[in-house]
Amino acid sequence: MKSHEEVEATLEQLGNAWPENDSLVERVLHGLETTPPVLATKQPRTRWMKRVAVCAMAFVVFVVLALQFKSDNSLLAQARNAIRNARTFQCVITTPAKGDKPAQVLRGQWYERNVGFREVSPTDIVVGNSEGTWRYQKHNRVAVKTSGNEVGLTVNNLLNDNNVGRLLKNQEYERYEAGDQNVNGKPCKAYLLMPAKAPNIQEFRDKKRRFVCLFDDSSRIVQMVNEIQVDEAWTEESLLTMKYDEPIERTLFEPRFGNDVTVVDIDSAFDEFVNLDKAVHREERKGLIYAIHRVERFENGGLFLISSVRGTDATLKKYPLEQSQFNRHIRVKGPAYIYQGPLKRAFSTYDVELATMTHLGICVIWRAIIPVNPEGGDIFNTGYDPATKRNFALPRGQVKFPVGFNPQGEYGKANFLDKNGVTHSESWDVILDVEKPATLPTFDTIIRQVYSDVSALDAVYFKYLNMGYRGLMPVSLSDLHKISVDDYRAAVMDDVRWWKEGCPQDDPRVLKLKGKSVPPKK
Amino acid sequence: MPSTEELVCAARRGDKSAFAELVRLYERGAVITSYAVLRNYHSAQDVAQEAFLSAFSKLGQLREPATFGSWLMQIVHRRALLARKVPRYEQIHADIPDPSSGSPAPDWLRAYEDVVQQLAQLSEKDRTLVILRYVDGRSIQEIAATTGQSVETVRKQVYRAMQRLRTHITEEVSK
Repeated sequence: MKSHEEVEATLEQLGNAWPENDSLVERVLHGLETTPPVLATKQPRTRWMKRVAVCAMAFVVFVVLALQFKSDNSLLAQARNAIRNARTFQCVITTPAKGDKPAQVLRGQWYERNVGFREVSPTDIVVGNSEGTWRYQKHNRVAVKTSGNEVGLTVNNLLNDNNVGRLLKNQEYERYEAGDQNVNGKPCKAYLLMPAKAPNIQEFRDKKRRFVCLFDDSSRIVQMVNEIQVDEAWTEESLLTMKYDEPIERTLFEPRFGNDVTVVDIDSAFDEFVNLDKAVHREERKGLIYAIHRVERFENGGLFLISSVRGTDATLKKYPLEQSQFNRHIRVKGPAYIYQGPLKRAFSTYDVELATMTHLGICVIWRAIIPVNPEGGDIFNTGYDPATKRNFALPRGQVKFPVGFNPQGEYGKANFLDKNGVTHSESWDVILDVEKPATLPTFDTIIRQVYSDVSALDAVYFKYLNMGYRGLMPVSLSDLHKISVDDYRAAVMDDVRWWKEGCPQDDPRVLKLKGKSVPPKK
Repeated sequence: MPSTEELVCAARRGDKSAFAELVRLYERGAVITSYAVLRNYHSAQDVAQEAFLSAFSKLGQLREPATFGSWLMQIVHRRALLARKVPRYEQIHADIPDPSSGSPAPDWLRAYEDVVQQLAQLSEKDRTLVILRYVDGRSIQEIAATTGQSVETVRKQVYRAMQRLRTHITEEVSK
């Protein structure tokens, strides 16, 4: 046991090592400039007073919400409902012709209830019908098919905060009679919309940009013009048109992308990769199945593993997959994801999350555990008996390491939420037989293997490659093809080296992350 | 030296310099608490800063001003957990930095990773006392003045907190 003095000395050394100029005071004071002043509230003296206050507050909130709902219902809520209730819906954003440049379609969405949808963006086309969903990626001319599809999600998608829904939520609006006009022969009323949030919000506030919105006599939005003031005249930048309940050509919902486009069925490839029957370890915990698909030792005492977590059939029946905020057409969010952060901390190791992937509710992680001290013996071969509080050596060939998962969504709320509203993770130790081969693979070999695995499953939409420094330089989901195996290897090696040696604060990547200017190369 | 209670009361009246004193007093505890969860020094600082700002705006809700330190640590801990639990792929898409991935600690902190994690195992009250006493290097008398308790009470509380810290360290080492 460490003596009182030793612990004291360590703490004092920590205090002495703490940089004097690293105080938060200035940052906090700066933040206070934008924080509303504190009300010197009088503390309620008794519990009943507190209850009365809470009830009064609840009543006020109810009244405010009711009023808001009432006013919102008059226009924007009706506009949202019109989209939700439409049998067919079309929404196309175009830019006007400029000089020699013809008018251009920026984005388009077509939807027919219970039949199919089509969504076109500059980078991809997504098509769905009763047989599945296809995502055609223009950059590699590959269309990825998955069985996961619910046409109804398209409406949710349209109305969510990343889409048209954002334009129809929490907006201020005012009548703009001068803008009234006929659209398709029907008289429409014009309103000016002020977005609650927008990157160029100041332009709206300065009256240099505006949305002119035209509503038909059923309170449906039929046009939205994004205008900017140029030389004191309003100029159209883009035009959004919406059509409701008009026939849509059914071929739009078919996966026709051209003869030279390769179609990949990702479900079968992914299922095979995370096949539970072939897993080296699997166990059920609190309605989830945790599986290890591969585990091996590598040089310098390291351990590499690929593991997954998914709900059992009963769990998925009770808590169906959820729609991710960024997933547009299929439900991918399962009841949990694997995440090394909340795992029981092993002070003597460094956990590197090499890559992660999520598809149809199954989360997979490629993970390397690297000992701090490679010369310190086999740290994975040591067990601990809580009853006797003693360490013991595991049988030869066995390894012990921490694993875990983070519950999420409705399953997480129902089973892992504490009274403070925090969802807690679950972690435990796994002991497996992992023989040490005569020749251990290098870490370099492991990294290349991970890259190869992830590339083979490139069509999975939700994936992540650790690109180094604190994981803050991830590869964006659609840009994986831009990263070569050597880039990836170098990034992971940097991550590990910086963990050991400290992070170079003048590294251009670090400067960029901190929002500082990067000096030009000499 | 004004007590925490006096500083909180002054800050409630809008005295920002009083709040700055509170930040000076509890910032290391806040960063340590946050760092133990996030294992990322810069993110830990960000979370601690946010927690102070949140605490400032909620000072009116603090029933016993003398317990500001423990209350703040709870806010920090909750915020750090929330910062950690955001699924990574969504952050990528949202272009939001992930605060929770394992990170190289600054050079000066790396040697103290273990003790920081052990400090985080203590209750908010114990942790605050130990950090004030040993990491900040404040005397028992100063802490007593700060917390509004007698010197003898604080001495006993610090001693017991250290005992608990030693127990945590011993248990971890034996694992």
